[in-house]
Amino acid sequence: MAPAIDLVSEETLRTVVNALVRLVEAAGALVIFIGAVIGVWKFVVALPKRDPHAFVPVRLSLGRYLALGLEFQLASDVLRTAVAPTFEELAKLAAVAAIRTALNFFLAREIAEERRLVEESREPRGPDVRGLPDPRGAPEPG
Amino acid sequence: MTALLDGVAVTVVAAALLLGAAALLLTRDARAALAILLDLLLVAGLLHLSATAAWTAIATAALVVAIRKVVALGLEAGRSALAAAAAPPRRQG
Repeated sequence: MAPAIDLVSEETLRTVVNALVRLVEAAGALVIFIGAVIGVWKFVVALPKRDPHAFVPVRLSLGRYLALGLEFQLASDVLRTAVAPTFEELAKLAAVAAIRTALNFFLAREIAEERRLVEESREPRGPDVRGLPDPRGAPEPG
Repeated sequence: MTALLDGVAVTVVAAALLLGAAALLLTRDARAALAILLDLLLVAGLLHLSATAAWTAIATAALVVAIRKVVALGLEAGRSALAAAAAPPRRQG
């Protein structure tokens, strides 16, 4: 009978995957933290304008950082399934992954909606918006 | 790492409360203020969730997400109803 080839022991594999999980999860948390710092700063800058519409681009930016951080954290959840030994840990993992996936879905929808609002507000308006004729191109009456 | 993330999450909660209150005072727009508050509370919840995978942290994050969606839907419905009530009635015929 041929001996089983043991290239990597289970303990080593578990250690390596745990280190990777920590690394990827820390990257996600770092992205969320950086997004929070930038978001808070932009909110503070936008507050003196006293215009609720000024917050929309800030929320859009914060949402992008959150979505990116969530992608990293979902990657770490997937990695963790490789070494989760107990049913309790797997149940927690499933709950956390479900929350992060749902949140990512809603964030993507909100980002698309807010991006559409920002683009609509940036669109140039025609000369007849205020009901006034364009003095350059208007034909002479009579 | 866990203590650091928890500390950052608490700081973000404080920033959420301060900025939400400031936005409400300066803009008089409850929807914008609530959006800021809930966005930053969500950030704090996610940081807390990164720090501890306890059931309470999971439940808190899920609750913040649910509250965020319910409040957004409620405010949107309220705004639509107010806009419909403020619009002039259609003429028939």
